[in-house]
Amino acid sequence: MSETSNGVRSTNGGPPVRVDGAAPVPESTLRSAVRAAAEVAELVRDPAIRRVRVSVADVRIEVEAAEGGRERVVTAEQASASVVLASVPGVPAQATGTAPSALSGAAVAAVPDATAVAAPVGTVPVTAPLMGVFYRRPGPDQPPFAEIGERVEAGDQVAIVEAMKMMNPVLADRGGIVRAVHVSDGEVVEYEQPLLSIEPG
Amino acid sequence: MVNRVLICNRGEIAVRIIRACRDLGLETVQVYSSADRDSLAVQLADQSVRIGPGSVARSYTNIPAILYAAAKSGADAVHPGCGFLSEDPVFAASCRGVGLTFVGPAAEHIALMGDKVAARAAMRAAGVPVLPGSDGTVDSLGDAVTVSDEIEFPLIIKSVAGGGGRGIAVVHRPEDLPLAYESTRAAARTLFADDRVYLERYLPAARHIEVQVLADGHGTVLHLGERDCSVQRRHQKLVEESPSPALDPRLRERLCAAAVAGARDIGYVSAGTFEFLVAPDGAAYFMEMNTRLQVEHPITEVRTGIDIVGWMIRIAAGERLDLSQSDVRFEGHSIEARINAEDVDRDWAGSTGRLYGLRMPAGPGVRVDSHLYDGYVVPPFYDSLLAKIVTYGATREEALRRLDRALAEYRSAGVTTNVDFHRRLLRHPGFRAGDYQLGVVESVLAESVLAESVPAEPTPGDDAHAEAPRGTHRKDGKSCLTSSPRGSTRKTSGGSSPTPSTSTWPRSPTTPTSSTTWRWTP
Repeated sequence: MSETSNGVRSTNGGPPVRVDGAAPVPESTLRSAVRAAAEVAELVRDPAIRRVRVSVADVRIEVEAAEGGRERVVTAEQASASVVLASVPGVPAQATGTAPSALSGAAVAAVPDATAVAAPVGTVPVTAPLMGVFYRRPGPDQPPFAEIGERVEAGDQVAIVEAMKMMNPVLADRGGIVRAVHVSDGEVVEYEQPLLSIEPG
Repeated sequence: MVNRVLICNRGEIAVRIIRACRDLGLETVQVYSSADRDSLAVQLADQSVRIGPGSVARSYTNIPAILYAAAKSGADAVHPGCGFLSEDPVFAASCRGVGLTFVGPAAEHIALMGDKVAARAAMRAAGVPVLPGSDGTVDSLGDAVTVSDEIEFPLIIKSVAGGGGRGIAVVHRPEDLPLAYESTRAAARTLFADDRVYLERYLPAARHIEVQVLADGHGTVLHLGERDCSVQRRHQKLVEESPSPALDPRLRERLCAAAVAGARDIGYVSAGTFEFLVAPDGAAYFMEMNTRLQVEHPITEVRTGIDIVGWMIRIAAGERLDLSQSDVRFEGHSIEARINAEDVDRDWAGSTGRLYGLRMPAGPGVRVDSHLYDGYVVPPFYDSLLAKIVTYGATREEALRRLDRALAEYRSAGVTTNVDFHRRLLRHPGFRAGDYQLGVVESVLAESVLAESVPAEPTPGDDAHAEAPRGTHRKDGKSCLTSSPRGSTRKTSGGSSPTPSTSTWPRSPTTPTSSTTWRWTP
């Protein structure tokens, strides 16, 4: 990725880069974000690609294509900056990165299914570890594991997914504030379906 | 009543089932693993449900997840496709237990045919010829010696629980029997925790010929003719054709009648396939029955005009077959080549990755069943089947020419395919003449080696007559014999198709480049 239309450029030793008007980000973070974007562009090798968007704090990479308007969201490694990379409309992002590695084909998510929900900005999802029945409380008459607005720590139980009478605990993978619960008690959830959104911190 | 069909399979067969549902006006629910989230089946289905990660055990054979998906999506029927859970009696029973229509036979019939000893006994009772062998398991060396006197050598010792070419041994001489018997039981004990074995006669040269049947729940049992599946490598079918060039009308009639009798005798309902081994002298023996849709069903559909997948669903919904045996017409010749993501030159190693520059064949007499699209990523978790190229012709010669044309049109890059092997097979004199047996693949490979001035003899394995494991893998290529094609006796083809003249067959490929080396440029 050498140059893009909004002036983000250079992954190799160039000056700090303007990133959505935010404070300069560490070079290493930017480099990994750009590499991720390049890999995504390579991954979805599609002449219809208009735009590649990487929001690292949200751990989110979006690739916008001309046809069908279908967005793909990829989970990338966590960092602490937000980068937008845009290519000239109609021209594929020039992917100088190597073949897809960290982001294998299996990491690309086609969005229009139940595993995609509108998550509040700045949050990360807690997803279902298996297919089953969702419960956000330990028992029918008990309060939820975590209320919206409540703080949870990494490793805290936040839900149950029941499969074949086995109560599988769902744990928060990081500390933060619960900002949304996307599923109702008793609903059947798919594998990797977002259950709650946590604002890390 | 069936309104919404859940498909718990993937790849081209899932696409095929979705198309059959559409043709019947039924809604579809595609379950999928994370690795298949961008699959064509997910794109084509009305709904899709992600049931697990890429590994088969946590997705496509995960019975609880599939039943939850059916509940979530409101499906009222389940089509298992080929492989995975298609021959798991527990799954069939589970579906019926929760009120879902299972598109397939009764769990009892799946279980019966899954037990090789019980299947042999049932078919013998139905008057279907089975290979001479033990009546049941052979539990001592003394019994093995007694049985071997009756069935004669060479014979094969098979593990009851065996699969995938494991747990079997071919015995050529009486003095080798004791060691082979004990070692096969020991191996079966280690591999399957079940050391029961049985004995069958071993056919050193044979063809694998199977008969498609269709049976409804109202007493109608039809056969849709045979398929010759003798082009196999390590029990994996590569090419199938119908009719078989090796059958004369009388033998064809006998096999088809035996299949109908077998299905009728056990009260079978659904599509099913009876597999036979046919020896060069015309002797034919039942091997086993597949209680599911077969990968190679299109060649039968093309010749008969009967939608086998559609009928499977309609029969499961309780419909009556609206045709009788005399309504089934067999026209022309059909052949299928399986395009697999595998590298023939690297011992057929599987190939994965992003596939691009795709160009599929088309035109008169060509049908392609595939889940490929340009940019599709072949995931590493599943079998290597990419596409089935099926051609039709008024004669075998025309079907073969069209297959060669279709293979020449096929293009893709990024993933290595076996397309070139298929074109080599089409130039093999024995195959062209219709005079080939199990082992023809080794023969084609050996000729390629000879062409490079390296002397080589095909080395037939001794793991013949093997069954692929049930449940998690496609078991299409089982029960094959590996014979030495060079040593086999030539015989005049008794088939209904004329033997193609070698002089009219193109001797060299007309394609300028190999599909596996063609490069895609953006």
